[in-house]
Amino acid sequence: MEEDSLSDISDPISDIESDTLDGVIDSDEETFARTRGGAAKKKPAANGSSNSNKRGAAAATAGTKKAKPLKNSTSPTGSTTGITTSTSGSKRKASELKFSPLGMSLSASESSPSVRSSSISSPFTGGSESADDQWAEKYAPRNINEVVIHKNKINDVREWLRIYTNPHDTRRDTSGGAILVLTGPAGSGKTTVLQNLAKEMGLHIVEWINAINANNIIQRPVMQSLEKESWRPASLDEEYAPVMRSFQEFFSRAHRFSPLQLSSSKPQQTHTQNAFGGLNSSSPATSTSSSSTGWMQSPRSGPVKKNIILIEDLPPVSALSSRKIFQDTIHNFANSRASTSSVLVIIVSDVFSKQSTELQFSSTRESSDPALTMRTLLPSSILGKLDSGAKNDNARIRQIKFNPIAPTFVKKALKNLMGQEFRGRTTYEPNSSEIDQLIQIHEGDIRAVINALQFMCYLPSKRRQKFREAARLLEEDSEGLSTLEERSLQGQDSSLGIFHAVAKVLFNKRNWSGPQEEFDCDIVKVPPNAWSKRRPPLSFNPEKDLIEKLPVESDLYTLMLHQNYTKHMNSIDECSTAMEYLCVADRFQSPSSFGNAGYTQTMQMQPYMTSVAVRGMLFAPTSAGPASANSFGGPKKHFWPELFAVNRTARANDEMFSEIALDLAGREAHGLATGSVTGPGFIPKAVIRQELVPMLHKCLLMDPYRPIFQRLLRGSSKAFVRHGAGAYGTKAGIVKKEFGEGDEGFTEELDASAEGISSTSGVTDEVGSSQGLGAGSGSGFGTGFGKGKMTGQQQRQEQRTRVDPSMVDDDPIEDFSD
Amino acid sequence: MALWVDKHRPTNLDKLDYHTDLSAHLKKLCASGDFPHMLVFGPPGAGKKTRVVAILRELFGPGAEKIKIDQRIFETPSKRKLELNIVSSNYHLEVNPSDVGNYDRVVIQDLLKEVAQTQQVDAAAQKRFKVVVIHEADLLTRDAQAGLRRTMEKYMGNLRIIMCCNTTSKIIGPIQSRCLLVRVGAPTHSEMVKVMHKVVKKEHCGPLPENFAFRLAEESGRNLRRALLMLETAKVQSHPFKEDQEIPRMDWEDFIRTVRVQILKTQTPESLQAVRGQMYELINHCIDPAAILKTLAKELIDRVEGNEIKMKFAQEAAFYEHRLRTGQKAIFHLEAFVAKIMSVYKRHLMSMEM
Repeated sequence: MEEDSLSDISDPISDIESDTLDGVIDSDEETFARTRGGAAKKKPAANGSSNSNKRGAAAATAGTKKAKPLKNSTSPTGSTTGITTSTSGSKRKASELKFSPLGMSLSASESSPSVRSSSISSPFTGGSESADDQWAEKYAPRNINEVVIHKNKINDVREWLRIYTNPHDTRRDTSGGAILVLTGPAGSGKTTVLQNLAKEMGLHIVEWINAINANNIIQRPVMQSLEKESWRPASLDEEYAPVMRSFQEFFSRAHRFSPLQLSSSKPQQTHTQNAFGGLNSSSPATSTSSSSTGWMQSPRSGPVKKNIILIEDLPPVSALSSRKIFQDTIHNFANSRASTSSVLVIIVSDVFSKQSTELQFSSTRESSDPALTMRTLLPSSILGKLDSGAKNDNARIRQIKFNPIAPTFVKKALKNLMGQEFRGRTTYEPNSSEIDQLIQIHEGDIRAVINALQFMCYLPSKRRQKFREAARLLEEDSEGLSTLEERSLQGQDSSLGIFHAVAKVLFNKRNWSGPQEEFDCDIVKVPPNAWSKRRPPLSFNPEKDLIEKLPVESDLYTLMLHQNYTKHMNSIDECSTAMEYLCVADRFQSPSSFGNAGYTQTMQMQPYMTSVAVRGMLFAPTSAGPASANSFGGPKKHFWPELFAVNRTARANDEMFSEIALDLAGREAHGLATGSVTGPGFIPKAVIRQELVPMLHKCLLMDPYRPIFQRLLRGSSKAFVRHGAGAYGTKAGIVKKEFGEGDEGFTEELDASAEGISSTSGVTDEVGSSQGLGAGSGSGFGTGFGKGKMTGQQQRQEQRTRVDPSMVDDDPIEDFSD
Repeated sequence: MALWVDKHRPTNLDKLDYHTDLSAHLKKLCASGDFPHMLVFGPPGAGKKTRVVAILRELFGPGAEKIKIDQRIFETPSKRKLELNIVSSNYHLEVNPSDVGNYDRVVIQDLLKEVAQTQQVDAAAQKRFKVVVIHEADLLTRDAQAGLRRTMEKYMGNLRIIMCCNTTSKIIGPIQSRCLLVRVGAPTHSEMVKVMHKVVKKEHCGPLPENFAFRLAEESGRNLRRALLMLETAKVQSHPFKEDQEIPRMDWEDFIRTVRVQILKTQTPESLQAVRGQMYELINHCIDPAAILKTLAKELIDRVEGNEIKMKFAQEAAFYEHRLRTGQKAIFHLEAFVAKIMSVYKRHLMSMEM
């Protein structure tokens, strides 16, 4: 790589956007390490940047990449120019390269279907390495046999694709569009498997790529033009059209038209046009012709069966309205019988969903942006089918989960890679312990491993030394690895897992068996009269080792401690102590205890609050390790806080109570002007909840046909009063969820409780079901509430549309009205 | 057709069943040209609102009973939309600003300003001012109360404010000093029994056994509204009334009773966990956490023997209720209270054994 960049310096075209580059140069390895994730997906200037709009960004991208080989350079100015020139150099090279694959593809389409584009194959044939700086791209598997994930997974995907892309397959369910959802952590090979399978089976992949990404070059690699087409807005107007509209358009085009079967007489023209399309795809000047001919003929000589529509780069769906469009589009696809020409594959990375799930839990406000998990992304109709079809391999709508890649597989792949990369040159070749360490750190994310490996190989020798040292330590002592410096050296997120963080406090690691003379603090000796308060020293520092590294908001963390602590306490006194500290911590948070303290002050208090909560929790157990002696027995399972579900139900109930208040406030009477009512006006909330509704509930149960209810309450309120207001002790509406399982589960749990419908049978939820969540739905609070809520909505609708009320309400009481 | 509580609510000051002295005073006040701002306070179900309605009628005649309910939308400085239901007549306006939580200041200011800046258009009106009734005034935030104070002074000309609350302790001094404080005490048992007899007679539903009426009055905790609700429910459940008829009780209070049983039965972490589930359920049903704590404390104190432990329980209850009000997450404080009670009670039991 070094020679490569040096040769680039001589390139005459320089000084482009040097200020952009300065920023890049300022960044050192750490910055690079952080941008690794993004960089992994970048393919440098290869995707056509003769477009001046993209210059800066492209240069920056290339600059980042060039910067690292030059790290050894001592003179900053020297490196600046070096990078600048090298950037444009590589860009130029790239654009040259861009043409070559197309040239090759032309010949390829005529000769052999298995020939790959030259930009990929060149490294292996000893060609230029500049086009594929990223090893993860450079050494991406070329066929399905090279993909190092479990064969069964691949077979699952292959089988599904085979069924649904073959129009004559008898097993397929033809009732609508076929959808495959691939989920799994990042770097588990979802996209790779799909690409390679498509290649193997001769399928087209039509991928949605966000226009904004195309402009900024923050994007995934443009798929090889041989096998894939990327749809992008082609004209100026389209470029600035709302993204969701272009998405819909993309979708309708993609699934309505089968791949264009161009006559063999003019393949030349088609490919040329497409080449321009590929090159200038985001240029405003490009004519629409490139997009209209965007469906390129497959290079294969055999008949093309189907398109695969791939959505991996999600359109901006965080806003509710655009998500609605997204969901509608997918829903329509799933239900349209006509869409037999293509299948839809959606790839959702778990990393994406995990972070946002935690975010979702940490925010207690309903209106905040809900997470983009698979569960919230897809329309509910699809989700339902996903769940019901989970067992059936041939289901029309199917989810296939990918697991993190096993270390042995990763190692195999890495060995293979290094064999190709170094080809005997051992100067930079990392030794095996280093590789082991990388694999361990990145936990099955093969892309991250490869990137880290590449990065490590660029490290100056001193740093290498340090790293080697760490690796040596790792061999001696497996604990040595988890030190943070080491982790951050490799750019891995250093935060603790949420489960880990909770367990760390609750299992309360202390040297319980050690001598009791040691105390938490060496400076102040605990006086004899306070010996009940002495504890063995902690094995970690809560502030430094825990609170700083919490993966979630401390507020949520405290809730999780609260949810789970009881099982780790030996006596009620300990519980009381623990709660005492949680209470104190809670008061830190509340603005009212500081008079007019605002949000800022609350935020300032937050570290103290967490500290009090955590240390209090650690202090509470008085005797031996809670893990050893515990009244509960058995393995300890931790749960997500119930409070969210409780709050949600309470909020929904609150709404119902408000409606009842509205019902009771007054009624129309004869002789009054329209809109006027007579009545008591608004009754205070507390009265409604604690006196009126409970009594009305009793009355309703005794005599549902009393005329008073017809007049006083709407159908929805009546249903609520009837089912919801009583029914204590059923525990319905409160769902417990063990954590440590799939993220979708949590969302599902919330959904279930919010709707009051206990349909969580798909989730393994032992506590929930044992508490009658599944079974108790018949008479429980949840159902009654769900019903009430539903009819409430209907009612509101009805007011708008003025439909006959008796049609809407299925409540039997309604039949007796007037 | 309405609930008995509403149906038989006295509509003018002369018809009020008890606190006749107060009624006479109020009547005089309304007759005099100078009507002050008013702060009506007293325990729930004592008849504060009844008196306020009666005052309005006394001031403005039957027109005050023709009310409209509409939803108003307020906008906070941060562009958040707040919806609030408002009851109004030509002469007055009733709001419950605590419904919008922390944004009540916006509501108070906007609404009062708007009302105050328009003069009474009805020339036939007996009074030149409009009245704004603020319910649950003790739940107003400090900010809102401060805003209120200024408005009260500024628009005295065509605006009077009547506030209803349970306790004056949460009303800031400046407001208290600007208002006429009117205390409406809870009715005595015999007064309540009298009212109940009256209602039963009006409803033509047979004789009301004296003993049953008295038990109702007792069970309701001198809360007349509650007593009447119970009476009506009892009528639905079983009619005619019997001497030893079961008194209908609130489900949630019964549920708290089971919580109490649990607390006094076993004092272990598992038991605490179970109680937490029950607490969640109460919160689910939108029962005010402070009410949960209060009811639970009362139950507990009634059920234990010995003055010392009773006192201890009361002390803890007071302590944690204060915390509950200053804190944020109700469940923490409720659970802390339960844990503490369990702990104290366990120690108490052990000392008894020794």
